[in-house]
Amino acid sequence: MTCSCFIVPKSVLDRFAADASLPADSREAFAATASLETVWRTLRSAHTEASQSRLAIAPIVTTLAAAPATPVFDCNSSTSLPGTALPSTSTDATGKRAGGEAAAVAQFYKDCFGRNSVDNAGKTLVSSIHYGAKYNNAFWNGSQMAYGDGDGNIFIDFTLSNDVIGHELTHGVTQYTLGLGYTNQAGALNEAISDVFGTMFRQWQGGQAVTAADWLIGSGIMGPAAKAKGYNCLRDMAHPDAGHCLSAQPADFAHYVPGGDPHVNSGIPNRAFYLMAMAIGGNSWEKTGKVWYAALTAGSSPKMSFKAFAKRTRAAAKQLFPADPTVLAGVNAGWKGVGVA
Amino acid sequence: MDRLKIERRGGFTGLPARGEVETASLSAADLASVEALFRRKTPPPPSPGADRFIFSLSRHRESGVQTMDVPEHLLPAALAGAVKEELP
Repeated sequence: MTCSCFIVPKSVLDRFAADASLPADSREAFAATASLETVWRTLRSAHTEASQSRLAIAPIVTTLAAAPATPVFDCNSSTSLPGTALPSTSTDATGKRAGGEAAAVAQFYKDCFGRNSVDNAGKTLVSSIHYGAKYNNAFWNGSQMAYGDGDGNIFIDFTLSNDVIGHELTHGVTQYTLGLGYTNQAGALNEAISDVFGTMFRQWQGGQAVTAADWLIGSGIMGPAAKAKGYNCLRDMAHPDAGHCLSAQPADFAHYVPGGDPHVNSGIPNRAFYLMAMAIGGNSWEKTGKVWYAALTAGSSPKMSFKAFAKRTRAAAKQLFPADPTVLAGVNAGWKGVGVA
Repeated sequence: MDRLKIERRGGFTGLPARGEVETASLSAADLASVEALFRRKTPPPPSPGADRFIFSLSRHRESGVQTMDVPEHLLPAALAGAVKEELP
């Protein structure tokens, strides 16, 4: 979708739409464009509201699709989404990876948490590859994933890290569940939940117990220039402030950055999850992951604080594992370790 | 001659990027887009979803400096492509 039409202020469009000296068809066009300004302004909240409204009818529709379809589209270096459908016969390695890993993430959510796609109703998981020119990013746009190829210097193909694909899809899950905003602690929690489930997916796919995992985010997308300077990841959930992280983060609440980007302060709950998983042991998705999934799906709370989420995880630990006190103890140790009491 | 300073934040990587563009180098369409952005009375809303870029766009003129946040879907490609990441 190209959006240059929205750059002209609505007041100007309204004035042209009412200008009797202009031809009728031009005035209609200006009026139509003006109406889109409002649509775009509300699109972000509408995405969340629409997603949240699905919660009430989710039990009815979960049987509609047993597993989500995972089509892939090729942007061919443009920024128009979704792009051109990639045929099933395509040999594009990025396309195969994007579709295959999206299906694997869906399987991860189904096997580990009994969830059917991001909306728990079998929503089709659309991936667009080769987005933009040398685009150093991947994102969830409220409806689908998009992956850049990287500049080949600092970053390479963003589909090369399976935790990145798990991260982006999890933004969809969060949108349909907790409905977190994107500022302050809620925004940081939003990003942390994507890193947590992204790395958990990576561990699940690799059959790694918590002690065998590296807890790195984005290790597969680091380009030669980044590696040459000693950066082996974007973020390290075990050591968010370490020098080998290209985007180092605060490791505890004492270093929380007021007004900081969600990707900065997410280091705090990221490390809380790591500390919990290490204290509880085993496979992250079996106990620690189930506690976080229960907290994530316990109802919408767009402005949730770290403390409120921590409270949810404690309640989930008690409810899910009443006979295993090590789980609640691990959850408590994790939050205490990052200064969120 | 006006100068545009562009600072990018956000995105999955969280790695900031910066760049500068002389307005004289912009196409007429891109220049019109920039002027329309600075005529806005309220800042545009962020792009929907998560891990999207946000650009801080500063226009340096003899009369002073104007700055506003612009979501990536509203920034002309010539400006978005003018920023470069700097490794810390």
